Amino acid sequence: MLPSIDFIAVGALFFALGIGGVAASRHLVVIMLAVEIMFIGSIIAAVGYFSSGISTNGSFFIMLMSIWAVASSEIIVLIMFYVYMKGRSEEFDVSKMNSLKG
Amino acid sequence: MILLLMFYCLAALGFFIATFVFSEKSVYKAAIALALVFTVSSLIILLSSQVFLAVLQLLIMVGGIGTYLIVAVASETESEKRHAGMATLFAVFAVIAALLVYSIVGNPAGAGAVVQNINSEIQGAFSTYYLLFYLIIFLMFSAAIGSVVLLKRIVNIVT
Repeated sequence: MLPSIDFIAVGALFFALGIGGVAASRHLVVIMLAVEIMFIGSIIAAVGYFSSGISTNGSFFIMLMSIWAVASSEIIVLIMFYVYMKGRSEEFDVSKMNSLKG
Repeated sequence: MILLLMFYCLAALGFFIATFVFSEKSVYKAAIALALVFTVSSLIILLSSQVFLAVLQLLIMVGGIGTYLIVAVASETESEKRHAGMATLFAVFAVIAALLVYSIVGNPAGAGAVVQNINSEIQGAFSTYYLLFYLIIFLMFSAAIGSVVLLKRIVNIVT
């Protein structure tokens, strides 16, 4: 069996790359893709932990399903932004989004 | 040993493809790169003998990336430059990765202690507050669907 610490470390690397992507991206869709990479990191770490053989009394599945549910909700948020910005004929560059400024 | 080697090869491959999500000028190609990362992550999960979870990961990919591809094609515009600043990306990545990996691997008590700590944290959080987690997920879904409905009305009023 593979050591779970390796899974957690690789998951952490993916998570860090996702955070870097969110910080560095300007395009709205690319930011959402970066968040997906963060979720992938979380899932790899969670599965690595689960496969270590430690009994979690089923609580692991709640955590994993939570991650997947949040990932699915994020896609709905993206569609919402897409409809909103298309309706206002705005660009997808987040650095040009200033309509909420006071 | 072979499994460990395969695991690290897949992890390196996945990481390499994940950088294409940010280095590509086309959002469509970035979404395809993300689909490949999902596939590689599913293979990584398969290496831990969790076949069911690996298949679930693929199913999430089919649903999620399908939607992303549609949005990416619809929002595709010609761009001369990348959508992400690579210097900022790798600077933030280096700092966060150093902090996370050091806290996991560089623990003087050893890797076993880290896993035990995570175990106690998860046991405490999820066995005591699992109803709250369900509630949060329900609220998130409701908020997401509700926002789409509200937005549709707003767009109708504006147009």
